[in-house]
Amino acid sequence: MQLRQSIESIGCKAKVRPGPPRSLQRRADGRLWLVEGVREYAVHPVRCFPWSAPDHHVSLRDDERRERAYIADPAELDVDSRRALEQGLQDAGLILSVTAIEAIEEDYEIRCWNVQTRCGPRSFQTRLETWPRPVPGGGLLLEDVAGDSSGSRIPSSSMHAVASCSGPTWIDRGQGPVHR
Amino acid sequence: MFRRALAGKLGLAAAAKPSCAKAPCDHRRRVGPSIARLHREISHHTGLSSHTLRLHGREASPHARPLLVVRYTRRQQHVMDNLVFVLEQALQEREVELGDADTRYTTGVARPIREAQALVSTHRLAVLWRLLSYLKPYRRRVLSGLAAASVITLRSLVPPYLSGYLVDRVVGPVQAGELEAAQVSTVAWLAVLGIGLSYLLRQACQWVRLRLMTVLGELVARDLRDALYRHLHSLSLGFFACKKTGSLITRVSSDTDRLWEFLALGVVDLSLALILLIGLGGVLVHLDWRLGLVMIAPLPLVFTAIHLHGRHMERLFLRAWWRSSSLTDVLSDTIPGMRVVQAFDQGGREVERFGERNRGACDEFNRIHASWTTFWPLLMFVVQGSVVAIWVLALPRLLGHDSVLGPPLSAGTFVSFLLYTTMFTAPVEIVGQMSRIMNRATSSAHRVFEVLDSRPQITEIDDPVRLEPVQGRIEFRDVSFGYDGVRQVLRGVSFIVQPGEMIGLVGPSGGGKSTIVSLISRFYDVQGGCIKVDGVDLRQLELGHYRRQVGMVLQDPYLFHGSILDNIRYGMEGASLDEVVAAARVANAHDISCKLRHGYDTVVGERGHTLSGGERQRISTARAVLEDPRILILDEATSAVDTETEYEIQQAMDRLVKGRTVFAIAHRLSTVRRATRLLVIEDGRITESGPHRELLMIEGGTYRRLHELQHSLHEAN
Repeated sequence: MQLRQSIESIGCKAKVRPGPPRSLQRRADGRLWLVEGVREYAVHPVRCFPWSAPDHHVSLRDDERRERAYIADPAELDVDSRRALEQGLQDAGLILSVTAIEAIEEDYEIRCWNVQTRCGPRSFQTRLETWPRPVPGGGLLLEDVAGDSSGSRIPSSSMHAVASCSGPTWIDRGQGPVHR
Repeated sequence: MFRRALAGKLGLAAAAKPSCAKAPCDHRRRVGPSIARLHREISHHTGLSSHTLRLHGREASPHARPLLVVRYTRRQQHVMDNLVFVLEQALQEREVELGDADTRYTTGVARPIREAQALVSTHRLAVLWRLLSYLKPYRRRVLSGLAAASVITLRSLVPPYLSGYLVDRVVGPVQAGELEAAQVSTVAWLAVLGIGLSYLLRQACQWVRLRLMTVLGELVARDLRDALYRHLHSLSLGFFACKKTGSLITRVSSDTDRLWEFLALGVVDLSLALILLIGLGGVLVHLDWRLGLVMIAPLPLVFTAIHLHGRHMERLFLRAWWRSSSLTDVLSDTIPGMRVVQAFDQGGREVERFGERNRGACDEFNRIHASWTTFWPLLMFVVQGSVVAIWVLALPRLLGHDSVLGPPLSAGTFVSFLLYTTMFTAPVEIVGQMSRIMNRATSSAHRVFEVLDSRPQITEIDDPVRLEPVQGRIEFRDVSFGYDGVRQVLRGVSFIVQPGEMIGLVGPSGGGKSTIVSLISRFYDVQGGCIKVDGVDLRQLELGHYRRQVGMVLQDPYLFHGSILDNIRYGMEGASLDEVVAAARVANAHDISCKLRHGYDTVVGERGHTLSGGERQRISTARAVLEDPRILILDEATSAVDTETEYEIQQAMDRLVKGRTVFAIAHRLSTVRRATRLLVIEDGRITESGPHRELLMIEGGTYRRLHELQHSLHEAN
């Protein structure tokens, strides 16, 4: 709060948009629309902190990626707008959640994963030096070699599966997923 | 000598070094008005391989002879620079505190040589004891390992004894027909079982010992690494300036690892080997004192040879370490600069440079191997020669002849003796091996302790002042400073900055601009004069609290491996996400963060290499905004970016500087023209001072010249 005041005091108040947008609508074109009085914009919701605070701090950007509104807390929105935003976020934030690890095989430079997700079995490869990354919201994040992070997210409860599949050296050497 | 001659000529007391013997050791003397009365002008000419200093008297004219002419070499230049500075200050009737130039020269220029000498001069035993003190927290583990090793040692006495018993009391009498096999079979099998059990016990104890001690080695190495890294963070920037990165990395990683072998195996093995040698010596003498003495007599010679070889190996290990460290230097130098290497297509040259040092390191290590592989077989030949001597002396007695060599010897006793003899060579071998491991460990420990013993140059006084709140009034009063204690980078700099003022520091490279901001941040302490913050000497302030009041945005912003969020929150871990976003907005970093796939949670890689220079700069600015410092330092913050990015960063800076005391270093004068005042720094002095417009009015002034140059360059473009 003190910082906010300090930042405002140095003339940045105009740039901060603390208030919620007037309303959000999901229209027939399947897009999210921001309505501010007579002005309307088709916007994309962007999570500013997709892992640290996935349900807060959403930046609404137009097709030119210009920020049209910033929603620190969706609770500030009316019910319809909130629902529209949630739907928009759901569309924008597809990520596979790993429910079980079938096998992990190590090869030269790559590690091959066979996993179960809510959408069925999936296999992908990660670089040998790319360890699953712990994310602030809990669980681990994997990015495959294509950079296509189908972003399989392993729930914390499955971490023991990673450890047991990858052999004891992963944990004993302090290089396991918990540490990197 | 030269310094004294010059001082004598000028009547300076500064060279009166012998006075130290009578008075307390304070070489500082004041020079001032007395010199000003003596002469009026100093001229300084640079030649091809030497320089000339002339001191002219009051009546300086083309025909008047100078008071003094001194020619000196390049090596003496640093010292002379100091003298010239002192004399010039004296001409201006200012008093300057003189240090002992000899001492400064030694501490400054000769520091690396002295450090290298320190490595070999410290007593090895002292290093060893200090290293062993790290075992204290693991006393129980050490004692358990020692107990297991003791059992192993004691057990090793059993098989030879039982073997001798079997030969003399069972096999011999049965073969001679004195006993029936059936009569002694139970005893015989019990003896064999005893031998079997003793081996089982040995392996069990060996497992316990290895398990406990290998883990212990890792634990101590970890403790040392922790202590070393923690200590590195307490050291001043001056320490890092004079140490190569590669050398420090080697100390934290490889050197602590090299201690493992000694701690895990050496400590227990060595102590037990010595105990075993004493015990076995006793047993051998007890079995047959004549033969026993033959085995024991060469030991002093053997240990002397091991000791001398150890000293030789120590020097070889030290050289090998320097070589190996220079190899790491090439890596830490080249890998971060790979872009430059590839841009200039210098890969081949760098490979050659690395190869040369690699060959050097390999040669040095091979020299070590050549030394110990020659020494070791020779030594063992001497030890095993004793076994041959035993046979020579024992054979007549075994054959039952009475001779001068002693009474007849039973086969069983001799078998036991031979087995003990075999065991006797093992501890000698261990002592020799351990000597090599110990040398390796002590030379690594030397280097680790060298860093641990380095004292921070910047320290806090016992009862520091905490300024709350910091207003941001900065005063430089006759500040002098040199990084190596010899060459003066700042010479009598004085200025006062009021809270909220923005000061632009401009001038040619190497003039001392960055040194001024380093002194404000108290990365270094002044060597002459003082710096005051809100009227309090900077050295009296609580260091951590003060540094939190100073924000920096540097030319090459440094981001750590981690997310953008982590980097912005680096100075304020507890900042909320709202605060982070607000700070990023001020720094124009919000948009670039949102455009990344993982937003603020995007990991930026080592040094932020996944981002452009402008993006890194804005995130670094957001970090400074979040810290909300009272004193802000902008060191060429916009010099490495394109015009559009510069505009955005400049916007961020304009917002950031409001309400703070700001020092901005800039070569692009357009970025500091809005400063309240500009200080032109040249050759360690302030040559011009005032607002932009005033400085432009100075005919022939440096600022005006720089401005015109930049203007014409801009026009040309």
